[in-house]
Amino acid sequence: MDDETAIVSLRGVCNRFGAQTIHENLDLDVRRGEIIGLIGASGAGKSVLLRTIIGLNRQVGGSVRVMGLDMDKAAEKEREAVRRRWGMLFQDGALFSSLSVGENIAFPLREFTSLSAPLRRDIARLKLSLVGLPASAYDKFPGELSGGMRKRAGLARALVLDPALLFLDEPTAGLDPLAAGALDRLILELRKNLDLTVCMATHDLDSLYTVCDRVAVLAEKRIFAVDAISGLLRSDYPWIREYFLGARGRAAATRTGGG
Amino acid sequence: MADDPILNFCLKKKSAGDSLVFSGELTAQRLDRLEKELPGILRNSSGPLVFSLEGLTRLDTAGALFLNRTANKLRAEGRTCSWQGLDANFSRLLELAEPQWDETEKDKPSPSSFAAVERLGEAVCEAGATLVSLLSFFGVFLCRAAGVVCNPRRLRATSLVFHVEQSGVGAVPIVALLTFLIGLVVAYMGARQLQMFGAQIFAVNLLEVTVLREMAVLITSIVVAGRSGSAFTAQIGAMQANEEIAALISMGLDPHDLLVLPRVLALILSLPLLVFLADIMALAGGAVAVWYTLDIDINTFISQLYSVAKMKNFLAGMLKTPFFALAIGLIGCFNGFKVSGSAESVGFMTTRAVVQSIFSVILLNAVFAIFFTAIRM
Repeated sequence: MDDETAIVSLRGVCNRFGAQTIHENLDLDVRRGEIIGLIGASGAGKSVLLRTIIGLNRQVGGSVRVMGLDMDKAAEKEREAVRRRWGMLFQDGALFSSLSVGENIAFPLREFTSLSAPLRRDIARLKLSLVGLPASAYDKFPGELSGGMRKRAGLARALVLDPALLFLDEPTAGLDPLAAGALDRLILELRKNLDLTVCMATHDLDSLYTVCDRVAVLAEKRIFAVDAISGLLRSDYPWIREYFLGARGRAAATRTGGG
Repeated sequence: MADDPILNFCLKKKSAGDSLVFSGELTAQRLDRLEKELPGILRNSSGPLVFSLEGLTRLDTAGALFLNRTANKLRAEGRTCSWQGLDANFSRLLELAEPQWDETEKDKPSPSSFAAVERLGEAVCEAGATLVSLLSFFGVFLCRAAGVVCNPRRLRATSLVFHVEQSGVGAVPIVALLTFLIGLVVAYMGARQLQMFGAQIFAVNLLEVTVLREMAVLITSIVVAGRSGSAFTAQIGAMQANEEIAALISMGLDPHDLLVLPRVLALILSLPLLVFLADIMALAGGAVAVWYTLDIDINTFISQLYSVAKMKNFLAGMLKTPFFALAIGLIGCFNGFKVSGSAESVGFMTTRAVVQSIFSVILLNAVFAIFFTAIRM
């Protein structure tokens, strides 16, 4: 696939921790504008893969290209420019605990733009309401929020610069079904409005059915298959069949009208 | 990025009304110039205003929010605003970025004019509350300790040995080195002063009373407070933040039995031994110092030490150690339990534990000095 359509492109990526190999010769292309889900058994290395793409984990071998830029060879300045155009939501929100929620969300604005404080505050409040948090959360500190609220605040911070590329690590884990559904709708809405490409590691079958255009299956230390769910259902790999055709998979398919 | 079209905007005056024409990218990164210049531009126009967005190649939520805010402000002044050149995407964005919150800022409670007094009062109340809960923690510890005395099998022997190794054996090198240096300095300074009166041999007497009674105990306790007291807080605090303590309680286990007792007992066992080592090292340091400065050889030093050394000085020093160990251990564990939620509070409570335990060691030392004077020891 050429750079025009692939916003993230991994070639032959290898990751090893000590003697343990996590990824071996892994290839993956994320198309511009799509929402791709990343699934795999616990410990298959979903988070490690996301961390490799955003440069928190240096791969042992292979190349990572994001927005057409080879992240290992490019100059620091170019890499910085790319970093400002992606957002990452960490599993527990990763909010700065010494800043209030509002300050957390406005933090990238304070660092990267020279907007006035009132406008920064308004933008932060808009993002807060976009992710469905009450205005009263603005002055709270991360320690005072529940896990689900921290996650949404983390999403608001990841979205504050309207990134072109959004990485989500288990976005709906720990949310109640209503909140998870709202987050799914929010992701779809944002994609429609903001030309967003989303790459999410998730176990939420409902999310996979409702928001993901394609699903990448991480198995056998590589991307075993990438396809729409309807395509994956035809796979005869036991883990994939079990995953989508087990009791929970079928229930999700009926609930969301997919499959 | 250099090849991105930047944001341009200008005011076009027409007979039908003014229009504000935008082109390029209206995004958070480019909004700053618009924000600074727009008020000036708007002052030059009046009547109905049209926002013409036809030329925009990109609009983000920050840009849309800014446009909405501007339009709302103008509408509040009684001017009519309308949009031109909205495609489906832009109008969705504008709808999305409508400020819905209450515009009136909530006033924060203004600082009272007696803020300093207020803070002082709060600090006193907090200190009092801390003292009370520390006392109740001590009470629980005593109950558990009594339980172990009645039923020794309740004691976690493995854990106890582990903590003796961690906070006792592990502290040997640093305690030995520090007290050796302290003994060296005390003897050297004493010798220099007493030399003026020709009474240099009394440097040994000075060394004996200072080191055995006070210095060895104090230095060792402060090192242990910094090393082990803080470690207790950090360990228990991390468990608290991670809900491990809650898990223990939910299983019907007592965190005091499991975590506090072995740690505090380990300190009570190892601190006296460390202080004994510290006594020896400090005397050795002193011997080196007097040998070097006064040319008193080691035999003379030992015989002088024998003639002056009193058991009661050594005992006075050793008698304090279990109490210091108890204070350090209890304060370390107590602050660990006070950790709440975030990782930040682990660091905060650890710092606090060190300050509190060093403070209490010095305070207890003063109390002991008065006590020993009163009983003429």
